[in-house]
Amino acid sequence: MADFSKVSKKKAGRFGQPPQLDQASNNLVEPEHAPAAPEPSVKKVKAKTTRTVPFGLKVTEEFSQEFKKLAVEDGLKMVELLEASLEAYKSVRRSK
Amino acid sequence: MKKIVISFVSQKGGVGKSTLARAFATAASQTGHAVKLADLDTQQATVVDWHRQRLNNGYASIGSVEVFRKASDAIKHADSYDFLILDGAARASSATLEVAEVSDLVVLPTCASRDDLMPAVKLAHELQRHGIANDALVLALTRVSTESEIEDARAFISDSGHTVLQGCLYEKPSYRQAQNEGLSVIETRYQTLNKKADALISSIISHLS
Repeated sequence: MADFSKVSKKKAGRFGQPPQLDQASNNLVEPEHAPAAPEPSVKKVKAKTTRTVPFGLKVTEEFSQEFKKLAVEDGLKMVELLEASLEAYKSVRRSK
Repeated sequence: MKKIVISFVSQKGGVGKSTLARAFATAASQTGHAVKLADLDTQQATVVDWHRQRLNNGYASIGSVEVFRKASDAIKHADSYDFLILDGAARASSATLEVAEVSDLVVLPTCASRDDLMPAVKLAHELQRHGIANDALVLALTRVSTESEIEDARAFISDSGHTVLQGCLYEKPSYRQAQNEGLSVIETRYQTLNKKADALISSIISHLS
């Protein structure tokens, strides 16, 4: 009877099975030189204009709430309410 | 003699392309052949640096050594030398196929680890799929340590359907030291190591003839 013991004892190599032909890599279509990494995006900073300037001031909590409430009620920005307030003050001042 | 183009390519770096290209170029030069050794890796240009070191240390030139940005520029020199030896970049690309198509023999060095064997065999498969004849493709075992790993690596490559060269390059500090000085792996101070490296180079020659 044929002796198959040697066949069954064939030791598996430490590297496992080699890749089949259909598992070939797909690198030979790549460009000769790797494309350069894209430039990192730089966040555009708007150039400063002199159209507006910072105008910081401290007010009381009550004033702040009332001012904001009026601005909301009349659909104004706070700066628009401030400008209207200034115009009103100038008008009162002229009438004195 | 017929002009011969031989290329050393791989998907990975550090597997011995330049080492074998230098050794082959040295052997060809020492036997009186006109050699052009083309370094296709402009980012590293290690072969050019090695040859400069060789000349600075007073060792004989191995011929013309030049770095090329494009494989096509190197290929133009094929008719001017007995041997045009192309040392590929550390990645496979369209240039790899370009040099393979004009080569009489394509050598794919690989270390004896699965991490190196898998990409080497996959690249050999891909070259074959692109029309490179299987008998013009050979794998070379490099940086090996033990006989059992050599045996397993040979079996792995043979099972994949590709040819592996006789002989191999062992992982030896003396090989590194020789190359540090501008010598090749067939020119170390140890005759035994020189013979082992020479056996691998002889195997390459046998596949050319």
